Amino acid sequence: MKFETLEFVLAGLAGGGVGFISGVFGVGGGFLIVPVLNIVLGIEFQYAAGASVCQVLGPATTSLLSRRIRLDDFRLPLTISGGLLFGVFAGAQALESMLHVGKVVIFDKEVWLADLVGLAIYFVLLLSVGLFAIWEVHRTKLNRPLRRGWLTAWHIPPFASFPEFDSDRISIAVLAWFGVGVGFLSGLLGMSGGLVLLPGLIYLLGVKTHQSVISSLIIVWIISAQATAAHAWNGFVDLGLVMALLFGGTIGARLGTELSVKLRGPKLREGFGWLLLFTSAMIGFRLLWLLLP
Amino acid sequence: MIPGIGLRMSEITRKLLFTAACLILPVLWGVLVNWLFNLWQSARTEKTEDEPVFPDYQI
Repeated sequence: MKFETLEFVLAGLAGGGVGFISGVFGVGGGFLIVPVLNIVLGIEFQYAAGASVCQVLGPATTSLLSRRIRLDDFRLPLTISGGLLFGVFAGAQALESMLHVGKVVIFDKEVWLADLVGLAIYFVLLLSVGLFAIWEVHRTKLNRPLRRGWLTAWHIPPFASFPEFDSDRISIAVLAWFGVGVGFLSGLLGMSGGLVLLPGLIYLLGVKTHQSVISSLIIVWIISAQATAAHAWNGFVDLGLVMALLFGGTIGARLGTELSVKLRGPKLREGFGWLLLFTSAMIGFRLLWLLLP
Repeated sequence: MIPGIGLRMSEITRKLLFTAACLILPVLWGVLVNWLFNLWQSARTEKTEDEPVFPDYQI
C-alpha cells in the first residue's frame, strides 16, 4: 500500500489528537490509533496495526528512560514474556492467515476477513474494558472497592514468589497464560497491550498499583518490539506513517499531560471509561456499515 | 534460495535490515525526546524551585 503526502499529514494530525488523549488519561493510545487510521483515514487494518505497534516503541522508550527502573523490576515482566513471545507470534500469524483468506461474503456483501475479525475483537474488548472502568469507579464511590487478584486463586504448579505480590506462591503457568492472551491481542490488533495489561495486572493478578505501572511499561516495550519485528517482517510497517504518528503524538501527549495534572484520578478513570465506550460505538457503526447491504 | 523457506538470501537480508530499522528508529526517537525533555526540565529548574510533577500514567 502506497501512501500520499496528505495521508502522512492527516496521520500526523491524528497522532497528535490521539497523543493528546493519551497524555490526558495516561495511557498508551495504541487502541485508538488503529481504529482512527482504519476507520477515519481508510488505511488497511494490517498497515494501521503495523504502524501502531511500531510507533509505541517511541513513547514507551521515553517513559522507561524517565523512570529509575531497578534490575529486580524485570523479574515479573520477563516471566510473563515467555507467554508474550508465543502470543505475539500467534496473533501476527492469525492476522497473516486471515489476509491469505482474503474477502468473505456475509449478508451478500464482500468484506476483508482481517478487517471484520479485527474490528469485532476491538469492539468487544473496548466495550468490556470501558464498562469495567465505569463500574470500578462506581464501586469506589460507594466505598466498595473491587477484590483484587482473581487469578491468583488458581494454584497450578510450578510456583514462584515475586515482591510485587502479597502472596508468596504465584503460579508461573497463570502468569504465562496471561502473557499469551495479552501477546495474542497485541500481535493481532496492533495494540501495545497497556489497555488490558494494567487492569489485568491489578485485578486479575493482584499486583500492587505502583508496581503494575512499572511492569506494564516494561511489558509494553517488550510486546511492541516483538510485534514490530513480526509486522515489519511481513511488510506491514510503513516508516513514513510511523514517523508522522511519532511527531504528532509526542506534541499531543505533552499538551495532554499538562491538562491531566489539573484533573482528579476518579474523574479521569470515569472519563477514560466513556472514551472507550465512545470508541467501541464508533467501531460498532463501522462494523454495521461493513456488514449491512 | 534457502531450502524449506523459499526466500532468496537478498530478500532475507532486505527483510532483516528493514525489521532492524523499524525497531531502531522509534527507539532513537524515544531517546531523543527524553533527552530534549531532560534539557528543557533542567532549564526550567534553574528558573524556578517549584517544579510541577507530571504523572505520566494515572489510569
